[in-house]
Amino acid sequence: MQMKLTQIELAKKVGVARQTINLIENNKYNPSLSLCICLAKELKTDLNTLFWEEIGNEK
Amino acid sequence: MRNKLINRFIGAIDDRDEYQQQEIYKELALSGMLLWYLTMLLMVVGLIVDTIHNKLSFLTPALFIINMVYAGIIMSRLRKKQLDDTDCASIEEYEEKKKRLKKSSTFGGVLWGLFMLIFMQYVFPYLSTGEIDVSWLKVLIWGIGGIFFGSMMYWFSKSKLQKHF
Repeated sequence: MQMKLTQIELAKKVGVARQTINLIENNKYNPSLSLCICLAKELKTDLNTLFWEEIGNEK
Repeated sequence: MRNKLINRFIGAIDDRDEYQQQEIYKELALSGMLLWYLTMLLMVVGLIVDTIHNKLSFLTPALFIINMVYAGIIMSRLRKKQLDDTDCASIEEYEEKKKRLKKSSTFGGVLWGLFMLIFMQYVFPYLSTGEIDVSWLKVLIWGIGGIFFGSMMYWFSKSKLQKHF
């Protein structure tokens, strides 16, 4: 991760469980739009970069 | 209030996130359905035992009432939120869905009529007195019952089809 955040740190910041972050990273759970926005804000990026682009994108 | 109740039920200390909530709802819904089928089965077993002993216990009608009230509440709640509606965008789609409903309702009616005929005229009289009570009139009665049940099923299911054309 570019921001050197662990899954548990990111999970705490957006108010979800670490398991949820892990599932999103592994494409096993489609988060709600509000959670997507929270994640994008915390990771200081936009939704396109975070969820759309496959190549060269670090989630 | 609902979240608090669910947390207490599953034994969680703090609030669940959206993924966990979604999975909890799925698990609770499935277990609720299984429990309903289990209590229905228990009711049939209770009815068989009661028939053998020629008495009506408290448990059998109680289970029947609980199951019917439970089913009624769930059905009315689903209806209220329009969760069981089916949208039809064209007349062809509507006709196709109506045809499917007709087929499943006919099957349901036949199955219900047969089940009732076998249990009410063969199984229960045999368990109670050791004699089988069957006549063409009884077959006719349960046949009409099956047609009525199937028609009601069809009418009820058809009312869930929403025309958008």
